[in-house]
Amino acid sequence: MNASRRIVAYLAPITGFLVLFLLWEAAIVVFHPATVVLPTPWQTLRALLSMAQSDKVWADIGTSLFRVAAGFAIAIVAGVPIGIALARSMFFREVLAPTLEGFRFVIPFAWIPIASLWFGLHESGKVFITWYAAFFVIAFQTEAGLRQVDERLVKAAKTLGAGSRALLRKVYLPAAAPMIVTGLRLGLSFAWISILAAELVNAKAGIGYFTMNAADFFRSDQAFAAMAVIGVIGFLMDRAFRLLERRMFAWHRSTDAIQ
Amino acid sequence: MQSSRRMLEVREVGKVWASRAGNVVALEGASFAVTEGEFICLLGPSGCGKSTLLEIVAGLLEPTTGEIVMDGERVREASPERGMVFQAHALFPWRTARENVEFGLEMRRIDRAQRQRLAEQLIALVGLSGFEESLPRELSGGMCQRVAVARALANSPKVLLMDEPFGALDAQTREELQREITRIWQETRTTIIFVTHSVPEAVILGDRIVVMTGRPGRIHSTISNLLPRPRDATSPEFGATMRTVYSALEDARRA
Repeated sequence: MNASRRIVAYLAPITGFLVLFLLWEAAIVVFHPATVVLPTPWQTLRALLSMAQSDKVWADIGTSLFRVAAGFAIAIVAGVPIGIALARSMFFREVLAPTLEGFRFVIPFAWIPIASLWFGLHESGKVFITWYAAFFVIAFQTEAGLRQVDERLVKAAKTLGAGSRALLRKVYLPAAAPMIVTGLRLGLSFAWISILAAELVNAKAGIGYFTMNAADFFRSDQAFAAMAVIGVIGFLMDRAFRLLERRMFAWHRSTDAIQ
Repeated sequence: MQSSRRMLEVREVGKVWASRAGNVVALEGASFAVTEGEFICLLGPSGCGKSTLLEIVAGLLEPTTGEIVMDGERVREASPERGMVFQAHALFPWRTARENVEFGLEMRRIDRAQRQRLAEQLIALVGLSGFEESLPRELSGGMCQRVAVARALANSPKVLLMDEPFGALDAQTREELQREITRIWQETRTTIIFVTHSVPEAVILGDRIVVMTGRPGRIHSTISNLLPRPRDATSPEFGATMRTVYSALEDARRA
C-alpha cells in the first residue's frame, strides 16, 4: 500500500463518522427535538466525557464484559467438542444435528424471560444467555470447518503414519482452525449483542442496564453515549479477532474473504 | 544392482464402485509383482483406474477383490512403509517445508533435534536448501512436489508410490523433476511405483512399464525397459522403446 492509499484508508472511516455527525446535527437544526427525544452530538459527547470519569460506569462495563467472557468461555468449551463430534460421528450428527439446528432459530432474546424465571437476577442467568448466543455458531462452524478439510491431506497423513488421534490433532484441527476462529469471532459478537438485550430486560448492573436506567431518568444524552460505548467495544472485539485471524492464518489465503 | 526379491505383489485386484446408475467396475483382475529397488511405471489413459490401484496398494482403499501382499503380509491399512506423493502436492498448507517433512518423524516420536537434522538432509536431497522455512503457498508447484517427495522419504519407506506427481507442472519443470527423481531413486535405492499417462515420462523413468487398458482398468502388458541411464530422449533406442510402448497402449485402447 502506498502512502496516499494509506491516508485514504485512515480518513475514509472518519469521514463516514463525520457524515453521521453532520446528519445528526442537521436533524436537530431542522426538527428542534426536545433534548430527551434526541440530544445533540455535543451533549452526547459531554455525557460520554463525564461518564468516563465515573467509576460506576466503568464497573458496569466490566460487569457486562465479565458476563460475556464467562458465557463465551463456556460456549467454547462446549461448542468445539460438540462440533468435532458432529463432524466425526454420523450417529451423533443424525441424532443431534436437527435438534441443535432447531434451537439455532430460537434466538437468545427468546430465552431472556425464561432465564429470569430460572435464575432471577443471579449472574448465572446472564451467563446462560451469552453462552446460548455464542454456542451454536461455534459448534456449527467447527463442524463445517472439519468437514471441508481436503481429503488429500488426510490421505497424505495416513500414508505418513498418522492414526486417528494424530489425524484430529495434526490435520483436521489445524486445517479447520480458520473457520473455527471465525466461529469464535461471530460467537463473541453474538454474546455481546445478547448480553445487552438481557441487561435491558433484567439486570441491576451492566452497560445495558445503565442504558435502560439513563432512559428511565430521561437522560437520553447518557443513553446515547452508552450506545456509542457498546458499539465501540463490539467493534474493537471484532477487530482484535480479525487481526488474530490474519496473524495466525497467513497460510490460509481466503481468511480475509470470510465475513 | 537389484536384488531379485519380490517385495510387493498385486494379486487379482479389482475395484467396483457402487453408484446410482449401478455398479461401475473401475479395476479388474490386476496382478503384477514388484522387485526390491525397481522403478515401475503404471501407464494408462485417464480414468483407467491406475490411481485407484495405487491407492489400494497404499492401503488407503479397500479392494473389492484380490489383495496386496507386501513382504508376505496382506496390506490392510495405510502405513509409512508405503510413502505416497499425490498429483496435487497435498502438503499441509499451515506447515513450512521443513515442518511438512517432519510430519512423519513426529508420528514416529523422533525428538525435535533429530527431526530437524533429518528434515534438513532430505530437503537438501531434493535440492531445496534455503527454503526450509517457506510455506507451501510461497513455493512453486515444482518446489512443492520436491517437498512432498522429501516428506514421503522421511519415513524411509520400502516403496514410494507416486500418483502422476508431475502431471500439473509445466514441461520444463517436469523434465527437471524427472531427472531429479531418477537421481533420488538411485541415491536412496527406494522402490518406486509411478503412475503416469505420459509415454515419454514412463520411458524416461521406468525399469518396467505396466500398460493398462481403459474402463474397466485391466493390465494389458508389461514392457521391460533396459535403456541405460541417464536416458537420452533423443537417441534412436529411446525412440524405438517409445514406439513399442505407444503400440502397446494403442492395442490396449482397442482391447
